Amino acid sequence: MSDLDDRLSLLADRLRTNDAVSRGELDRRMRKARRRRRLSVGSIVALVLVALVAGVMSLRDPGHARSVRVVGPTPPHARASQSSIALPSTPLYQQVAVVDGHVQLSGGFGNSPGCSSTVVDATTLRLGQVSRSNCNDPATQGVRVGIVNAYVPKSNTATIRVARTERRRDGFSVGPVVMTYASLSDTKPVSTTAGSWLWIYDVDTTNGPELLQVSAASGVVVNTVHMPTIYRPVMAANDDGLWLGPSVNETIPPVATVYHVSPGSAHVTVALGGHDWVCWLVANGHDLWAGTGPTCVQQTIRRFRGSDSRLVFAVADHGVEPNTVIGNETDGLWTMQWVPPPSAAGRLAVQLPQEIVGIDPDTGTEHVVAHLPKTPFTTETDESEGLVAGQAVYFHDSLYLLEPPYQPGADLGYSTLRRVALSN
Amino acid sequence: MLEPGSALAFDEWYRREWPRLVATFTLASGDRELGREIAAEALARALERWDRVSRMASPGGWTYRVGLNLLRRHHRRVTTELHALQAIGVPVDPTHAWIEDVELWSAVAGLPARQRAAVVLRYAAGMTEAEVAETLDVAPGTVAATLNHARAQLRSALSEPEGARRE
Repeated sequence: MSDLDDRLSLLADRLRTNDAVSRGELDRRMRKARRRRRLSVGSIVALVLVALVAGVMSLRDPGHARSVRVVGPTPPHARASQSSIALPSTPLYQQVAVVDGHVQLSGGFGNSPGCSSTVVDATTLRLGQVSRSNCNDPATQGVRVGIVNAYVPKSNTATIRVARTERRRDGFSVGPVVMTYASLSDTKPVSTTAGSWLWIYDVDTTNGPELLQVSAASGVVVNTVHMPTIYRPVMAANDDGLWLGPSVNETIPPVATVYHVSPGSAHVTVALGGHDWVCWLVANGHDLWAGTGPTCVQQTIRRFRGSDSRLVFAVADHGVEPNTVIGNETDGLWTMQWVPPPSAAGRLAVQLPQEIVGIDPDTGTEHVVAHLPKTPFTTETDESEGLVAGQAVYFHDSLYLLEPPYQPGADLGYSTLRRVALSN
Repeated sequence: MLEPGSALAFDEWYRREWPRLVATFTLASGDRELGREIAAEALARALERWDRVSRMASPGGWTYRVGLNLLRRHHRRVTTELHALQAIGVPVDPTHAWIEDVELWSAVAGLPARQRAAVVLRYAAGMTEAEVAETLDVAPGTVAATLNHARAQLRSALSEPEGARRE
């Protein structure tokens, strides 16, 4: 045996630990996976039923067929023009955002340190020069303030600091620790920015479930709020403050569906009662759009306005089952879905088409606006999540989408940037 | 629902597999906590399908395959979190102080994805080349070639002479 074989075997031996997770932990994870799977299977059943009904109606009344759609009427730009480019494997790109009036891709370099970013020519889709930066620099993600996670060696403890872009110095700074939390399988701090504030929440901080309101300008914590226990939150912020609720992956029964914290307030209020899960939230200006339900197959889409959570509309989702929605009042609301949503029931190495779905911000009406080419869906462990955060951005009447998520023969990074022009 | 016998078999099996699983995904991910998380999630998937998985020729192989796919998904979704570990000026254990052979650890992390997968399955999971081939769904010859390439790259990174042998 060579030295190298010895060293590899020794390294592997050192990594083997006997502190296995408990059977109870595995049972809990299994129940959560089953719940997700039930949602996927349920959505397929719902789609099939709706399609059957539509088919029967079209047979009875051929003239009616064009008006019967699974997710509502198709607007004129359903035949949206599309163009795409292949993305390189070095660097790898994992996120698209609009930064300083440009579409920007960001990602990493695989196994070498640093983050990458490049500007996309919105007309030709040509990629600009690649910039390498520190991954903690918020500018890499297209924001001016963000969080930096750090794991304390030989412990389950992690800390959060605030990183801010320092335009004067053409760099960024990282402040002191603002939150210390237990880095366990059930915990995952979340953060979001809106206006002057960065909001940070974690369920298992040294002070229990806690929300921090941080000044984006100074990085200073200006408000701390004791929160309800939510292990897997969905969170969004706008000018009226912070909104969050338990996601469909939450591990404990929800006490309320959507909570609200106003800037500067020491108290959390219930914006939407009931015991539903939050499938997605979009907050902008004084508006909040939310998809909630007992499952994400049975979502109700609502719009709230103002800090008093005044309900503008509430309509039933029609089989789209949005997972992540992007947009705002001006640009519209957008999501992407697999057709049909792939369940884990034995779908191996299949290719499935996807649809871009628009959600009218004024009515909640859903409509398919574009059909995308089939995309590989590699294994049964992938879930039908549709759009995920950072995968798409709206810019100048077009959606810029990253897909599929894998480079040929490699693990990380999207392989195609697609532009879907939504105007005629 | 699991039969009582199946449940017992799963408990024995997963506790036996755990050390190798956690070592494999720690080495594959370059992150101790993530390796543990992936191992636990892969085992939960196995538990969910234990009726079927337990009858497979290699329940372990199925679980490793699931774990590698989970890791791929994780990288897709949480890249910034991973990159945070490489932060400059922040105490994030950048030297992997808990690893004795940092040089080899870094060299493995620098392997292309396919080579890294083959190496961790071969050495951390302790699989034969045939088992690695089955897990990665490639021909045995491909695994042998991939491992040879990986070893050559590791030797190059470690400045270890080709064919070096221990006394």
